Amino acid sequence: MKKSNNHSKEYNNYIKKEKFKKITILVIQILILVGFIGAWELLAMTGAIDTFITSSPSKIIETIGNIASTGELWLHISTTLYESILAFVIATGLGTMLAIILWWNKTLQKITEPFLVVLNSLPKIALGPMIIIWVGIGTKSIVMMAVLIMIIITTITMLNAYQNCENSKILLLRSYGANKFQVLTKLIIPNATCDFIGVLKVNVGLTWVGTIMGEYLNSRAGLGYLIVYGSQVFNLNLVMASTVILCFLAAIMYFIVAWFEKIMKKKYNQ
Amino acid sequence: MSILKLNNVSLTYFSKNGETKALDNISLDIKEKEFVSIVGPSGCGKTTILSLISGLLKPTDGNIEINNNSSENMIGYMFQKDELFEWRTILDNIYLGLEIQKKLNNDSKEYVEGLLKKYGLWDFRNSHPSQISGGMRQRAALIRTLALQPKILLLDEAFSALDYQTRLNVCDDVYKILKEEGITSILVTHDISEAISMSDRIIVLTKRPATIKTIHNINLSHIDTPLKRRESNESKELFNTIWEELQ
Ligand SMILES: Nc1ncnc2c1ncn2[C@@H]1O[C@H](COP(=O)(O)OP(=O)(O)OP(=O)(O)O)[C@@H](O)[C@H]1O
Ligand SMILES: [Mg+2]
Repeated sequence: MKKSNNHSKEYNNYIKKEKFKKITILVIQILILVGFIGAWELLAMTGAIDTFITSSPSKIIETIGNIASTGELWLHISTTLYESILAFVIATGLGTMLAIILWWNKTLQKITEPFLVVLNSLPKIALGPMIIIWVGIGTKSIVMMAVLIMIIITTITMLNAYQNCENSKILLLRSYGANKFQVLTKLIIPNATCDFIGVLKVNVGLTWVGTIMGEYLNSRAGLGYLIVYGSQVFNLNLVMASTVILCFLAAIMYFIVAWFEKIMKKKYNQ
Repeated sequence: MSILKLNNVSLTYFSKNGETKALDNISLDIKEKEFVSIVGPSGCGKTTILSLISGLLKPTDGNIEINNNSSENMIGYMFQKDELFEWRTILDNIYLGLEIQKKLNNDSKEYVEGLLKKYGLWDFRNSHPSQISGGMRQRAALIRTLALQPKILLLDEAFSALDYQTRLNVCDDVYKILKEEGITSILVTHDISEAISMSDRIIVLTKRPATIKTIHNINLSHIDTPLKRRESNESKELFNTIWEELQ
């Protein structure tokens, strides 16, 4: 629709009100954040809280500066980032592929169903020690941990989405003489776009859970490693600094997915 | 000239809950460009007949002959819901069948363009289904089917999802389109008036397993649109007769 000024006065008022609401919410959000950081810093400065336990915003920034100056910051960030993205891609890709295979082969689906359910309810962290023994310590086991956390739920969710496709739509394609592969590519997959985006959003959170958990178990670098190391030497500044960086990275990755969602929704008009 | 023949066709469904005999010894002979309606009690096997004709099902007994002088795909199928894909534009929805049969080329695109212009959807070709009205959606679904240039069109309660007003208009629209394109049509419907107003022949089925109860030949060709035919006295009489038969 073109922007035009021949809207009614009521409509313009309505738009104004909506805009005002949006701005108010944003301002309140910023105030909360600034207030929280400000109060934290103030309480730390006046000695009302023990910075040895709580750290403080200025100390966190100082700590980040320190690690950055030794050049180690990038090593830790890139290690964790690499693991997270790798695990995210592998788990989402493999999980979706598995779902497609199970959609394709009903018998296989029936056979694997109880196993999937049990695997899904198993707390994956319990597999940690086993994974380390099997694939060794380091990146491999960390990525494996994260992949395991995501892959089963990805498969189950996507399989569900594929199966939820209306039968009448499948019939329509079959009345055109479509083969199974065409039903898959023309209908089943595009029909599940919303669910796929949902999976992406869940996984983008879970992948951090997985990699940080993996790094807690075994690692020589990464933000999870910094957090564990910091707590072992009781350097809360380091723990907090790593956590803050983690927050930022997770947020950035989330926004990339959100942006992707917007594009897809526009393309698919949903 | 006969275009489609069902010879003593029977069909039994097999499922975990047992077997269901849906059709029992159905014989039909449908002429080219004829408009035939099938009415019958709920669940008697009407959709099953269409599934057999379209080849989605194979008869348990008997056979189906389609007079296929061209090797072209012969049969189009329209369902109760328009089944337009929301993620595709109207134009891309209409291309769907062509894509699947790998017939999307300049000729077929041009043909579709002609249909869209002729039937008032050209301006909406880049809209998504949710952005156009129910009547237009049904027309889009029809063009999607016509794009494959079928000789026989199967309509399974194709209008029953529409509100009454729209439905009367769409019936007129579709009727006109089908006559213009010279397509043989088989309509399944619960609406007796609709069947009377559109058809040359009405086939009344019995309860499941369906057999043919009666066949009515209709002669309303002196009245030009289905809407006007609904109003005629002949059609009211016939309505009562068929109504009785369905009880
Ligand atoms: N795939 C199937 N498996 C088993 N039974 C079926 C199957 N499809 C249909 N039936 C049964 O066959 C009978 C005829 O079904 P059909 O769908 O042809 O009826 P219909 O006349 O189109 O019904 P409606 O008026 O409700 O559209 C019904 O009793 C139905 O329960
Ligand atoms: Mg039916």
